Amino acid sequence: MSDVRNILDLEGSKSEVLSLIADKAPRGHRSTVPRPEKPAGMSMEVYRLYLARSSAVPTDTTSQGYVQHKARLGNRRAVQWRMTEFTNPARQDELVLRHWCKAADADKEYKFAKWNRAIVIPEYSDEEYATIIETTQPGIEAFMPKYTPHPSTKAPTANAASTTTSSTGALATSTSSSEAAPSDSASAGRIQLPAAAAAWTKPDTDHLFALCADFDLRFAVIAGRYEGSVPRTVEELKDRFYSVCNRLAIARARTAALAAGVTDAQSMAAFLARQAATAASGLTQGGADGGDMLPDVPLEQQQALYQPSQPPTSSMDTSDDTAASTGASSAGLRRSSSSNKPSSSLKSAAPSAAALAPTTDALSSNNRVPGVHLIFYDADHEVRRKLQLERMLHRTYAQIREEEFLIGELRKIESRGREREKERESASRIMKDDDAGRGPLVSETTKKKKKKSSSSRSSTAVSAAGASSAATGASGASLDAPEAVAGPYDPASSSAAAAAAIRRERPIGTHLRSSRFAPLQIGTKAAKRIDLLLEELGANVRFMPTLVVCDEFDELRAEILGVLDLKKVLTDFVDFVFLVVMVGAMMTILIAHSFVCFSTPMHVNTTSTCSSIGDALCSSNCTQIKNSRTIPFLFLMRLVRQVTILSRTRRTNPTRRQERVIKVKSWSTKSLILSHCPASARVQALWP
Amino acid sequence: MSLSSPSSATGLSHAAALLPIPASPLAAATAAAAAAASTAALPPPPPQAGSPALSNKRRQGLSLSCPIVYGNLAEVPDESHTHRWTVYVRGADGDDISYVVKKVVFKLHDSYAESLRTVEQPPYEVSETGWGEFEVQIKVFFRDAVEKPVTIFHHLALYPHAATLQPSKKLLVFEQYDEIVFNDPSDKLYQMLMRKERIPGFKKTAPFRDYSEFEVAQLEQLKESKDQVRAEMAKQKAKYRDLDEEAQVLKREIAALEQELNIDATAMELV
Repeated sequence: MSDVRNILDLEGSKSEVLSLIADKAPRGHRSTVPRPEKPAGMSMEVYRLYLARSSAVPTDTTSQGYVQHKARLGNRRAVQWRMTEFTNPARQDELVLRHWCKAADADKEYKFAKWNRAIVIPEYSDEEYATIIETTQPGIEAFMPKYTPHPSTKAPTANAASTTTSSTGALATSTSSSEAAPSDSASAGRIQLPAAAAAWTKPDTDHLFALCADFDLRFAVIAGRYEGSVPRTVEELKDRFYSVCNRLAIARARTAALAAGVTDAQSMAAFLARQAATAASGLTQGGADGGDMLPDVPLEQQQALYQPSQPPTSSMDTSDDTAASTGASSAGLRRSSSSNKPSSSLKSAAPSAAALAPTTDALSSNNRVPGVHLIFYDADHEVRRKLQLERMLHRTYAQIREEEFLIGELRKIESRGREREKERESASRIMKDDDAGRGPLVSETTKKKKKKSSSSRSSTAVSAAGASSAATGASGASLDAPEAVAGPYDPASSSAAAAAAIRRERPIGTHLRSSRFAPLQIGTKAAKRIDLLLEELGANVRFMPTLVVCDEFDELRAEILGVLDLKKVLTDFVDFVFLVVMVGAMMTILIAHSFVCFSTPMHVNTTSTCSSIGDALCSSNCTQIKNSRTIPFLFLMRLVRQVTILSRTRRTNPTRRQERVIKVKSWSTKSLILSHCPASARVQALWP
Repeated sequence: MSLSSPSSATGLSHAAALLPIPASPLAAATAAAAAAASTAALPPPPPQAGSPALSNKRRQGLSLSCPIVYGNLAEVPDESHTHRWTVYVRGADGDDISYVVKKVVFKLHDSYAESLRTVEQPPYEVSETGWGEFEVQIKVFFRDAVEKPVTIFHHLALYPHAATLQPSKKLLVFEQYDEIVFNDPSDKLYQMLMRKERIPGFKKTAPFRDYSEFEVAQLEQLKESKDQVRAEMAKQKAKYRDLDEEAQVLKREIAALEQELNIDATAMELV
């Protein structure tokens, strides 16, 4: 019935009975559910809050009142608990233990047993190792995850590598974190990872997989226990493990596809997708053994890594591995816990993979194999991330404070710049008004109006003796119709603001026309400035208040207002130009600073120079510049350039770098000096 | 002639005064715009003399004006007094304005006996002797009491300054031109203004200044000033353009620098 009404758009006529019967409130109607009664003792404010969030209606408190003073005891019979024996199915040894449990649950399976899920580590035969893992097959390589290399890794110079080794070694000396345990050689090795990693052998791989199985992918632990032919870092281990897993998964999916008679890549992808969708075989999760080969956590983690590098909030470095592995195991357990109902587990697995697919695709343009669960692990990125974190961690207090200070200053400058931008817009509006093609500031309407008024004056006005006496004889009093037509005074104005300021309400009744000479309603300050300019022009006399003169006078004032506006904007604009430079300089300094403090031992010199420049620039706060009416922005630009060059000069050439530092210093002092005295002639010429 | 029926006029104006003033200024302004079109296109019919159908309505959107001059003469009469002065209100060309003005009240300095002088007949002037300059308050009342009186302040000039005229050696004139504007005049006032019934045999006072010429001169001066302002504006705009260009160049330079630096920074990150 209600559906019919909905279709027919019949609303409102519904009877109460109907609305009660219908389980849903009709569309477009506010629910007719009566408001819950206000419980006794509840204040009105709280009750309103309850109403506002409809779900949070108080529970049954009508009988008790809102405030329950006494505890309700003994309303129900106590639940029976019993000390019962139980066996944990996770254990192999059938150990019988006893615990308290509800009598009703006594016969059920131990409820924590479901959390015991073993991660299935894929296994491989010798043959598989030889064909799939050791050798590169184009069929497999095509589907392997590809990581976009970082720009910095494109051209790593041997020099740079060697210098960084020493620097990181120096940085690592003070570390006490567990991650830094594999000391200098390890950290140095890490940096060269993708290119220079020692080759993996089968015994090493076997050892790794055994450890993975033993320690449930807790890679920090695995790295600690790992005793291969060469010591390896966590990243290397992870990289190896995941790449092997991926290879196996792809190869097995391929064989299954080939068995089904699919040969070319596209149709194979389609086949695999179909398989995933129908969940016909256990291949979906990447292994013939079925179930979960690997948890998604590394993948999620990987996604997190691919986020634009934000400053890491915590020391993920030390804890992420354990967190990841525990998360991994728990996730894996959760997945397989529902394996009692296979259809549902597969259903849940497939969409999750599908949901992850677009992001991973977008992140690294892999030709992802649909249906095969690949793990994305960019070891290179990981290494860089950790290095970054390490640097962040090893900043000195002074450096951090300096950076914060610089950032704060930058914000201030930016906000000021935004204000200026607004003013500038108004200026450009003035400019546009002018450029729009009309004559110098006299609008069409006013011209028309003036013509009209003069004509009307010639016919009817008796403003003065003599001149219009002939006309006077004919008609009576002067008839200033145009003024009436125009309504409020509407003189020409250079800008809309000026026009608005000039436009006044048309006074009613009698008044003296000379009242139009009264100061404009634009604030005493602006009015004073207008007066000052009028005086300069010699136009501060009392004019003869005829209609034409009044209009002319208003026009003049509007134009003066426009000039004053523009002048003000200009003054601010010079500041704005300066600010633009300031922001640029600060940004440059900040950038320079940020990596100078990370990567060079000479940062003391550079950063102090930079910050002193920034300090000087900021503390001057433009006021000095404003007062002295000079802007040394050319010098600033040069300074910025010097800083840039300095930052580009690698530490491989210390003498040259030293030269640069000195140069920057000299430039900064120069610019400081110049900020006190008249600087560039160019700027001076520009100054109003 | 216009003075022949003052009683009836006042009676009418009383009736009008009792009526509430109808419109707010805003409403009047909007009404003005609407009414103005009609009045501009079709001038109101000349009212018949003594027509009885005088409504108390205001003529919306109409703006009439009555040019006047006010000021004072000052001369040194004899040894006993320093100055003899006359403060006056007249038509701009020395004409009669009694067709619309009912009376003029001069408020002199308190030191004068009866400092409030009311003049009900033209010429509207007060003569006195004295040595000191002061501000005279001149209040002009109109024949229709609906229109509220206009107050003028005139600074009495006994000694010459920039704005004074000296028609003869002994005479000093300080006179201001002004216009009394009647926006939305009452019907009655409108008719008075249109009819302009002057007192027969009114003797015009010779004006001290040719105001039509004066107006032209003033317009000239204003135009000159305006040209100056425009020149200034052009100058400022040129400056603005220069600065704008400068800013653009700088911005581009900075952007380029930043880009360079960014690339550099990322390249340096690992090194």
